[in-house]
Amino acid sequence: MTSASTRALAVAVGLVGCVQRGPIEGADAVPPPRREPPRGVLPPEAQAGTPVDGGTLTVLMPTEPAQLTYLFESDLNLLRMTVPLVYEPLVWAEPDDPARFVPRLAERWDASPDGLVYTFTVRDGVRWHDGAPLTADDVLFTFDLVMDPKGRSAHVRSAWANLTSWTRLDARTIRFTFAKPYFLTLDAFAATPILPKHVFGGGDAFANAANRRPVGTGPFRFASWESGDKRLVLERNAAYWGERAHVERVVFRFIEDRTVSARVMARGEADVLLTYTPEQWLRAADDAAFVSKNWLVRDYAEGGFTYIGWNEQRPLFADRRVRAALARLVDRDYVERRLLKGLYADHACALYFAGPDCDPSHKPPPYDPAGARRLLDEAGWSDHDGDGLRDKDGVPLRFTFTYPNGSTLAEQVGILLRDELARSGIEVRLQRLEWATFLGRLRRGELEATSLAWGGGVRVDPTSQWHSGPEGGRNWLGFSNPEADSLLDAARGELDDERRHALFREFGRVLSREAPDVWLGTGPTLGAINKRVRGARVGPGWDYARLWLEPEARP
Amino acid sequence: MRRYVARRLLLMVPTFFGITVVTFAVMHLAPGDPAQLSVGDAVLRADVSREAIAHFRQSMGLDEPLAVQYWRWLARVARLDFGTSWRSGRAVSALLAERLPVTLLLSSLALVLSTAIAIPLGVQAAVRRGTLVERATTLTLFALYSLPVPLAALAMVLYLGGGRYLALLPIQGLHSEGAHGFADFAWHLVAPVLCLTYGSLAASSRFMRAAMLEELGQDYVRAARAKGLAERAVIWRHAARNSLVPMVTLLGLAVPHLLGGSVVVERIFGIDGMGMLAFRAILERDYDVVMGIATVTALVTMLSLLASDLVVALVDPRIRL
Repeated sequence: MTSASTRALAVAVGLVGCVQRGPIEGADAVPPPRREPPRGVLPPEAQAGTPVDGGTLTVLMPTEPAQLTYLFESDLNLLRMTVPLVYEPLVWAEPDDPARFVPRLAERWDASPDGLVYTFTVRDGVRWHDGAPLTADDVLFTFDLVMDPKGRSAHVRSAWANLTSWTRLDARTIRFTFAKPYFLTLDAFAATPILPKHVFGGGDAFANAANRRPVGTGPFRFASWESGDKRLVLERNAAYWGERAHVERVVFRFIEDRTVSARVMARGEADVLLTYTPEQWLRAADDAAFVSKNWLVRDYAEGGFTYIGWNEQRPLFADRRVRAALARLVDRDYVERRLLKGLYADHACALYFAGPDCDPSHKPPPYDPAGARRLLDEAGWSDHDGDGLRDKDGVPLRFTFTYPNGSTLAEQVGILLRDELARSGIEVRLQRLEWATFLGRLRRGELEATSLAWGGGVRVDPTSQWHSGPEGGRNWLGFSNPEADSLLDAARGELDDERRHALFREFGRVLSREAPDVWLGTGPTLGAINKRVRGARVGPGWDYARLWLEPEARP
Repeated sequence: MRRYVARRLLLMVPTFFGITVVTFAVMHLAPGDPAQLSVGDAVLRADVSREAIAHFRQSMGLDEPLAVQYWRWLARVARLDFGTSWRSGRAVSALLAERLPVTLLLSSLALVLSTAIAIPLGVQAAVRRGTLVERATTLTLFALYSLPVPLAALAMVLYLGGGRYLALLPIQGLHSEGAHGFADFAWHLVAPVLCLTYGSLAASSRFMRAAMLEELGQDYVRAARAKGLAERAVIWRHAARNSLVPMVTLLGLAVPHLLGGSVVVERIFGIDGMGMLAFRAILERDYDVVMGIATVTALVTMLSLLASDLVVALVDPRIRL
């Protein structure tokens, strides 16, 4: 899956509403959390009842897309709004089991046992929303578009690096050949929505009018997206080939300011909001009137993790003892309780923390300033010249922590880091950069230390963040370890689940030993769903086409 | 007069080049580029992102020297082609055509409203200088002036926008879903226009007060009083009219701001105006959009300055061009 950290981008570009700039009290005065935060699990009655057709479902979205074709823009919100509602991929994950795939636009497929050849048969009788029939040519066209190095699909293409050929065998059959087996091949198919050739073919696909008025095959068809309206409206496709959607219309309303979106949700003007900040969500949970009308949602299936990372290409951070010492200087308990409001899942794993790829016995190192100082002394970083700052060979122990503008958490973490490390004779300078500048400098490996969050999922491939070769396209902090590289290579090509889980756990062991990051945990999706919405399933199986609205509660 | 206008128009040419060259250079020399942003942080492989960045730069002509890029842009603008936004693939002229009317409406309403209140307020403040009423008004205005717009806007959303407190005003967009009537539209304008108005109200009423005070000290005012004119006539027909002259210049200076829009107000109230367009375009290094906005704003600024100078000459017969 292209399970990218577009979330980080969205947050950074979206200028988070109320940046908290209050002073952070000393780490020794950690107050206990007010109380255990609500679990945010949908109760059984959220699924109960028989589906009824009709009604309008209103969903609040934090960003308005620039255009509506996911293949041209890496935007997870766009993916959720249009796939598989409007555009559909060949396969789709089973709602209950993200590792099991079911046919979608493909009627069936055959995979060779070595995972190198996939033959798909396109479903018969599927029609595009304009009435034209779906054929293998559409699939072929989509892959031509995705694989075109001049196109805008780099975010999708990079998951297809092993794809060597895609050939049309007949009007309904296409064969895909791969250079190497990859355990996420079907996930990649599920993340590649098929576009209509008769609409996008001929001319610059990015300049096509269908990028604003999509024509798909899905259970919903495009209804309207007027500029200035701040709404994308989809309506039920009455001629859908599969199981029809229940709601008549889905309206995505774009509200950037999070305070305002929480307020619109509280007014009962929307049914779904999944982008609460921890503070807002806890406040909503305390509001009895709100809770009586809405279900709270808290879900970790987006996976991912928040971390403080060091640029290991710098001599200072190349020393494992220094990294291990720094990890022991961050009071993660304080971060967890005060900054993350007790909502983050604490772990030390680069994959989905609750899944079989992680070894729960790997714990992040404890907060241990004394041990950290010993490690630093051992590494030769002591205060030789008596200026209060540790030094080695005449170089003082000092580095810059850079964070993107708008990331409240990274800013707070930076302040904490500066104060905490100063007590151990380390000087941290804080630098805030605007996102485009931050991204450019991060890419060029110019940052010394930063804090970011990786988006994730239940099934993830950590290679792009940790591999030292070209596979490590997002390994911007220069982690480089031959053992980790070969474990990742082996794991990615391993189609046997058990053996792959074992390889990833082994990889996790290498990471624990190398201490490349300070793990701050996995943040949940925090949301609320109006109680009139039924059939909701939070997590990977989230599908608006399966929801229905209780008629008596309809406005 | 005609020579004066011709000279001013001619002077606009170098000014226009100056503004666009500086904007162009600042945008392009700022760190971070659209190629990096277009690839984002989601590409899993380094070779794929390198390739994509290279192709993007090439297709946008970003590899060329800056002077060549500027020349290309100028040649396009000469044909009235403002280019395309790399983010949305839409023509900049279409974006401007969508956003300008919204912003112009909001900010001219705010300008008219604040001027209409500021003039009588300023005159009264000057006439009743030192009284308790005047001091209280000044204090109130000063408090309003110091109130940050984001705070005021969010306070309106929280306390007047329903949910927990009063549900007096709509807080999102310019019309309710499905509603197209004028009343609904006007109702939606209340909160954003108020937010845009209150800040400039303080500034322009103080300005008006200062101008009025100066006029009240003039000999002709004493002469008018001496010949037994009613105080009303002295103030409104003589002094106030003359004190409008600096106000007209001030209004001329305010016209370009009409186009700028307000990032904060647009973001909080969910209005697609010029403020958010420019803000996003700068963050996304959407060069064509930024240049399009800069060009339009530069032209309007220069023309409105000229216009306000001409209006001053009309209002004040003492000034000859």
